[in-house]
Amino acid sequence: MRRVHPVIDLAGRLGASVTGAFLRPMFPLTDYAAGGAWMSQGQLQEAVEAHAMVVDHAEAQARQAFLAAAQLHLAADWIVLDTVQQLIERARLSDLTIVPPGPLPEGGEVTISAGQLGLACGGPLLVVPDHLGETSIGRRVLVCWNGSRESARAWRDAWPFVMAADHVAVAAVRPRPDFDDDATLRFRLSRWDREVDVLSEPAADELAPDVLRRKVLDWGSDLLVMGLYGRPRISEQVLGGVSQEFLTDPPCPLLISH
Amino acid sequence: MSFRDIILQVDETDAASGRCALAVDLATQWGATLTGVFLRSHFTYDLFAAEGLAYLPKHEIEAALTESAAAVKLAADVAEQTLRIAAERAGASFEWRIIDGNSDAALIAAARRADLSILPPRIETSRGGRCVSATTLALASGGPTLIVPEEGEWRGMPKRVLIAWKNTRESARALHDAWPFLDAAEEVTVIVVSPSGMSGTDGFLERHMERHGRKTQVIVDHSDDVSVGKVLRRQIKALNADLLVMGLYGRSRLREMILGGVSRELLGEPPVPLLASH
Repeated sequence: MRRVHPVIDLAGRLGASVTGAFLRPMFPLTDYAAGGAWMSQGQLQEAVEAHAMVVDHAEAQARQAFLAAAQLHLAADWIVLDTVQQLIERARLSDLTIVPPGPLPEGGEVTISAGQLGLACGGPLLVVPDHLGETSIGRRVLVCWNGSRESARAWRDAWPFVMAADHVAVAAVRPRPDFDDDATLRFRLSRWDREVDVLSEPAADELAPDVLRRKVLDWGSDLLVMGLYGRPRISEQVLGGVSQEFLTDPPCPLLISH
Repeated sequence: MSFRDIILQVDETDAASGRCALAVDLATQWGATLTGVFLRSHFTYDLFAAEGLAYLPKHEIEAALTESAAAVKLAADVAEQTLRIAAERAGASFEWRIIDGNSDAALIAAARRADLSILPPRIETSRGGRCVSATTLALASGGPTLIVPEEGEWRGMPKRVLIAWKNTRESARALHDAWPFLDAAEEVTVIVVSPSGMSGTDGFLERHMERHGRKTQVIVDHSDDVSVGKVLRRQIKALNADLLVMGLYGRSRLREMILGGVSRELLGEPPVPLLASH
């Protein structure tokens, strides 16, 4: 819930409406040996009811906190979802989906991680770390670029952020410097009347994540835009393919696209 | 969101002029920069295999190469002239680039650096050297591709847009990519082809469109998946639509066949301009 305030603030700047979604955890059948077959009907009933009560309570708390935060800026609504499939469908019919890093706190037999949702939803996914504190999101936007399909996709999805940001920079981290492409980048950005720094740095593929993390800190980015790869092992080494590592431990809010 | 950078593939054939006119219209309306690209092919390898050349006298090889280069240059000039005529008629400007057409790489690279690519269903390099399907490019570019049929006259911003919706990531992608078109259209219709009779969107689709300030009609068609291509063609006719928006399923031929081969069938011969995304 700590991540709600900066998100509401961001939505206000983008002029967007916000829907809070609560994914109801399923009753964790697998935690009970043999699916609870050894339990009496009464015991099982009791366990299911207790689980439902805890979930209801958590949902009420989450809703209250969300609506209280959202009231400050704009009208917001709240939905409760029972399955991961419903969440994916709602994500597909939204312009942006915002989640915490790692597996979504949903429990039960079906779990989904931020990365999987990013691959399935067909739109940009904003991963907001819990330890964000009072920092803003998307005032200093750093866009990763390596010329791949995924980074082209991420860039396109990032335009609303790029246009609403105070400062924008592009991080082109490649094994070899590519001055022609740097020039193309500057030229393309110039068409949007945006002042953009191009932070070009030659680095071997396996060093790209470290270079990027350093750039995030040095430049003080509060939104990192990168491509999300569907086939990790093949392209993991390439910049943008570092997404898996960043997904579990993002240095700052992360906008990813596949 | 709007398009600021549009690339357009132009060749020396007459069919390119229609595509140029539409591209100029769109670029003018969005205030976008239009870049015409011409795919340059090297020597026509299929006519003279490298070994074959070795047996020719040197001056003849040189003459053949020079002649080929001159022909390609001429084709590029014709193509540029086609775009120039279209641009001048609208009082618009354009940029011109000649890129390497011997592989898909240069065109893909250009498409990744633009907001929208405008292509024919089959992209031919000059003098019919090589042929790339627009699908290949649309899958690789990571952005929207407007595929313009070679037949028919398509001018101005599309007025009646039909969106083919299915609860998949590709459909979501196409819908998100289409906003500059949807914002400018007069009528937007979403068609959900669902044999089970369930629309599957539970009003969420309408609400999403409403939040964009876009009134939308949703049609649920109960035909079998097998005939989705036919359903779409029929609906395009009934609505007199001038743009079809659909997702591209690129993962496997098999999956595409299961899904009815809609994208493949429509991409080869689109009845109206088609905005495809993956």
